[in-house]
Formats: sequence, structure tokens, C-alpha cells
Amino acid sequence: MIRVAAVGDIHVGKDTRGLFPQELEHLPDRADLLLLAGDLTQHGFGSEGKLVADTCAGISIPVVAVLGNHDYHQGQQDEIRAHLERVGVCVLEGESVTFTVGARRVGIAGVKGFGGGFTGACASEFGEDEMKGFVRHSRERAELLKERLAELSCDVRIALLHYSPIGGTLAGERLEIYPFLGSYFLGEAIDSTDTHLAVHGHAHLGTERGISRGGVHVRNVARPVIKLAYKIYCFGQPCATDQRPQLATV
Amino acid sequence: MPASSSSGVETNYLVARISAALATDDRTHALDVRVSLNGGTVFLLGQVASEQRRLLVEAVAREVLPPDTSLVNEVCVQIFNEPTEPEMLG
Repeated sequence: MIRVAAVGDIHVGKDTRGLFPQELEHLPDRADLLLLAGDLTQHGFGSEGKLVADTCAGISIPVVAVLGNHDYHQGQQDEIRAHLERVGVCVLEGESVTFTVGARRVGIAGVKGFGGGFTGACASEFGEDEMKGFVRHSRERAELLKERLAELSCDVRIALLHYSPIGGTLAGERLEIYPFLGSYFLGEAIDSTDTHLAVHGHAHLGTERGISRGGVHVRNVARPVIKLAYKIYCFGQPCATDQRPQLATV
Repeated sequence: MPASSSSGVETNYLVARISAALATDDRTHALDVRVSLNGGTVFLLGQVASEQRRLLVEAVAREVLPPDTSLVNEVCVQIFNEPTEPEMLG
């Protein structure tokens, strides 16, 4: 069995370490991997990324992360990423990683994603340069996600995002702001690549569980939504053999 | 009060101005605090990660408030526990 823990929007700042040790006490016994779905910092400072990294350094299972819009606010996303990678966190932006857990392989492709909206209420690459740039960024992020997902050779394929690929997990948010919370481009990417699970954050007032048009499980793991330190999603039957995950490919 | 009067305009756009301040102020960057106006009182609703953030949200909102407008801070500090049950997906 592959056990995937996930949480997003931990929003670490100097006033809070975000993931407190007591919140993670049983994590290594309960999960094989931890996915962090963006907005790891509150203000986007590199120093906050260092605080996240300090916490991650104490986690004994592999940690895979994407960054979120908060992590880009100061333009220090590269510094945040460097702090995380220094302690072994695998940070994905148009990239993928594969682990073996027992006899099975789990592949994770990650992008921050972007907004634009969903079928019937979405922006188009038309008009002013600013609008075209907005939609283009969303489309290009999703195309990268699709390429990385399609390349994965694994038993369980996971998309790790910050923005949402569907409207279903945004239920609870005001309908008017859906175009700022996700994009159907991401939904198309997961639906065309035999993806088993997509996890995202960003929508603090949304809903945890949803399903894409193509039947992919989508989970909004923003901490204000799950109201827990993390959630765990399992694939396959329990196995008695040693299943500690091993890094296969990056 | 007609919307064209200065205080009417101030009231009509007060919620938007407070929300914008909470999102962009370097002390908060809080995008998910809900702001509402009821009977001349501004209400702040939502959850934040620390008591310091709860107080900063109120401080930033108060800086935008016009005189004679009261504010109620109903923002809570979140506490997170570990999950007890996994979800089986396949």
C-alpha cells in the first residue's frame, strides 16, 4: 500500500513555524511520503522558507513540494526553494519525481498552476497584453504538468498543485473569484494522463473532496479546509514487507 | 444617504478597502479574512495561524476605518491535530 500524506497553505512566518513538531509526531508511521501543496510561507520571504526547511529537516519520510502564490510575493521563490532543497525536500515546478514503495512506484508531477477559471466562465488569450499574459501563464503551467505526468512510468500517478484543476473543490468560495483560484487547463492535464490523484491548496474556504470531469480524484488539502495537520490518502492493499520509500527518478 | 455623498461612498467601498488592505499590507498578507459591514459595524471573520496574526489583522483594518465606525474581530486562531483515519482511493 502507498500512503500519501498531504497538506497545503501552512503559511509559515516568524510568528508560527507552521508545522509544529507535535503535529507531525506520528507522520512517519502513518505515511510513506508527504506532499506540500504550496503557500509554505506567509509573506514570501526567504527567511520564512528557512523556517519551513528547518521543520522539514526533521521529517524522516520524503517530502515533495510545490510553491504557491504567497511564496512568490517577494520575488524570493528561488531562495525559498534553495532552503528546502538543502534539507532534501524535492521542489517541483514543471518537474517530476518517482519513488518506489515496496514493489510499487509512485510518480509525482508538480506545478504551482495558475488561475483563469473553468468551463463556461473562464478567461481567454485575447485582447490586452495583460490579459493574454495572464491566460498564457496558466496554459503554459498546465502544459508542463501534462508533459511531466505523461512521462511518468509508475503505478500511482499524482499531480501536485497549488491552484485547483476543478471547480468542485472550490465550493464554499464565492463563485466570482473562481477564476483566481484555478483553471480548467489543469483539469485537462490530469484527465488526459491517467492520473490517480490531484492535490491542491489555495482555496481556504473550499471543499476537500472533488472529482474531475474525467474521474480523477481531486483533494483540496489547504489546512483551513482539512482542519488537520495533514491528510492521508492510500492506494492498494496493505503489505507486510518493508515499504520505506526509495527515490527512483527525478 | 445618496451614494454620491463622500461618507456614502466611503461606506459603500469600505469592505473592499479593508479587504484590499488586509491582502496587501506587509504585516498581514491575509487574503482569506472575510469582511462584512452591518449597521455601521465592521466584522472580521475567519481563521489565522497565530494570536499575533489575529491582532495584526485587526490593527490593519482599524487603520482603514473612518471615524465613528466600530469593529468586531471574530477571527480565530487555528489549532491542527493529526488525522485519525486515512482515505482509501484505490
